[in-house]
Amino acid sequence: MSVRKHTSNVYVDRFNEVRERLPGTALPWLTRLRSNAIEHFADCGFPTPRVEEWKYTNLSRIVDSQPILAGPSVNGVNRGALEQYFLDPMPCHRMVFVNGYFRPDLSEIGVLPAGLTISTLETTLDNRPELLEAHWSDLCDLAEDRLSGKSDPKPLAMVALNTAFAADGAVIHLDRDVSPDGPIHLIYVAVREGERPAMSHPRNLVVAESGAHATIFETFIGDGGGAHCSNAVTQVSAGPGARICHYKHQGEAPSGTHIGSSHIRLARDSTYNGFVLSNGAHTSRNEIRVRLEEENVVCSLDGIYLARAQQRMDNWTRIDHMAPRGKTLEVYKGVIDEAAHGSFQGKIRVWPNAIQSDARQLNRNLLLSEHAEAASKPELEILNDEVQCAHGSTIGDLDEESLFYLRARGVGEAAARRLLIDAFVGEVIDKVADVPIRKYFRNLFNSWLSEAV
Amino acid sequence: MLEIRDLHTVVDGKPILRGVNLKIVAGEVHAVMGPNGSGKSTLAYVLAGREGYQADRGEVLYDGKMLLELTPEERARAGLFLAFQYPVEIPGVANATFLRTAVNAARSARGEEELSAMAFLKEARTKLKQLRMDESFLNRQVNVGFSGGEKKRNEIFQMAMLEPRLAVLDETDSGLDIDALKIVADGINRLRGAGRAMLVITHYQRLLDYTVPDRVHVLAEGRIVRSGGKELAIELEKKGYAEFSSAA
Ligand SMILES: Nc1ncnc2c1ncn2[C@@H]1O[C@H](COP(=O)(O)OP(=O)(O)OP(=O)(O)O)[C@@H](O)[C@H]1O
Ligand SMILES: [Mg+2]
Repeated sequence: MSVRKHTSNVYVDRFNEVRERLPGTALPWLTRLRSNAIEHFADCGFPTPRVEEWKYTNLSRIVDSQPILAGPSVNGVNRGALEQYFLDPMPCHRMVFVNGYFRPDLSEIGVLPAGLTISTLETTLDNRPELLEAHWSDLCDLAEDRLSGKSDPKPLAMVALNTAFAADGAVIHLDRDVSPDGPIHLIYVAVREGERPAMSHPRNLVVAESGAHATIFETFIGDGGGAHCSNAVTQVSAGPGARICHYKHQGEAPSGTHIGSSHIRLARDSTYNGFVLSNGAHTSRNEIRVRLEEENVVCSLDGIYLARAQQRMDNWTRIDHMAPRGKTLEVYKGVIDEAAHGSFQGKIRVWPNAIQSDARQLNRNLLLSEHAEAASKPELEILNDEVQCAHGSTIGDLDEESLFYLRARGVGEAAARRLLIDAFVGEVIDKVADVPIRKYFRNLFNSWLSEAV
Repeated sequence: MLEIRDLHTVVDGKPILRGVNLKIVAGEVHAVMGPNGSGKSTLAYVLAGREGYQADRGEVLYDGKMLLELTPEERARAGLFLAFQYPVEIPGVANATFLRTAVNAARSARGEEELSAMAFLKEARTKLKQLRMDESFLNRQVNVGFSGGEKKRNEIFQMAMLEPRLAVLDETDSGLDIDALKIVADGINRLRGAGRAMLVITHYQRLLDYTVPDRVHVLAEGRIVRSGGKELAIELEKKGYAEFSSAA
């Protein structure tokens, strides 16, 4: 306890150093929110594996090394190094952030249709703070309810840290019925800043008003050095009948730490298709919280985690069916090689009034080496009788019989293994509806696979 | 072409093959019959190289090569084909992808150019037509949701595509309706001929009416206990295996 308090004090001191330099200091609600957030973090400290929701994420690397707070980077990231991550030529708006800060020189925002705003956190705090105010404050009521009846702020400590320090990020707003061609691609690059690794806190907000359609693609890449940490928060809000496709690639160099937390709020008749592929960072956690707040919401949430070497990948999801006739389909698949560890902890809660809900959850893990490990904890919490729910979970090796069958037909052992791994993961990639993004994930997976045995 | 000498195999600590001797000359079709559990599939697995089915004693010569020293894929590329008694379902892999990978693995092992997707498709369609199988077979996942008979036909289709020099068919006739049996027999007969040999494991005389064997062997308790011409199959159909069983 005292050790943790001590560590979090470092962050309180740091906060006091920078608070006056953060954007939006003139906004009283924001000042209050930030003060509350740093207090929240100071009280809780970094989540440890003793916090149930953080059981499989170990942040000791960050806690011990105390990375510095990232600043607007002076580091020369050039466009050429990023091009391999660009989507195939198509109408596409691209925002690039280096260590959490927007880099207009690397970004490309084309002509925007009326009603679409693509902006940064800093600019939005200047010219449209009410949009942020409406969405930033409501994260506070997400604290976990414990059996004791108390709500526990510990699982949200990293979100609080982000709220305290967030200085930049993407803010995307779509007016009613606006539906831009092509995706909005947000690229976050981690780099070293001088000697010491840095911690960045990008904070993004996507708001689609009723009937709007948006495709958002977040890509996290780069090498920020050993104790680098991206602590990203992305909030998505879909109005009535809106439709949002939200993709994420967590592909930072296999040395850093990635903590991502997505908060999705869905109004009636809206559709949300979420997809996350992780193959990066040493330690990563992709947390997704989805709330089907009104009737008739359709939600799909898919995940792929590809772990090798010493990587630790944690996937934590929480989906709340809060209103009638919501539909969720969640499929997470992990391929874990060498001495890596992959985990899935996912809860779907169907609230008492959420009648006629349909919720399905599946987590499957493929272990490619005897040292690889997986943990799987799917969970359905159903608080009314009028629902259709199912969940499943598997952890297994490549099927020996299938391997032999393929080899008996002349397919070499390595090729046979690849064919089976491809079959395992491929069906999830095939669900990506946007062709250039599906191709991006396909290529990514193929190159990961070509390095596997 | 194939010579099995004094083959012994222990599976899971239990001796299953206890000195099998068998010689097949190129151009011949041999049938192996025998009671359930006598070791027929075990023999097929040893020949194909399945893990857990190694020879403890004896040797197998295939075209003069020591077959048992090769990996399963090397055997397949050298022209050995096993039609499985229980074909394996592989979810997520399309039959066409699977077969094209297999055909091209064999081709590149022989130093031939790989078949393009188009050339493969053309070839596959021709073979499917000969076997009176629907083209949709190509798009379906390997054996997933196939009926028992469809799985067996899929084995014959694969055999037709791979054109093996030595085919071991493990009860490919079981579970087939009368028309399918004829189609499968046609498939076998089409590959029959100089330079190729077959080992047909079966429980029934019926297949052998269409695909007349040069030799028939009885495998009982891990040994070939009797060999004869095609009339041996007819005799077995009438009398059963009682005389070969030590328990009787
Ligand atoms: N993997 C295994 N583990 C344990 N026992 C095995 C295994 N494989 C085969 N056996 C045993 O070896 C014996 C021979 O089996 P095999 O499958 O070769 O018989 P078969 O002659 O093909 O029978 P059938 O006519 O029923 O197909 C059986 O007693 C079987 O139970
Ligand atoms: Mg058998």
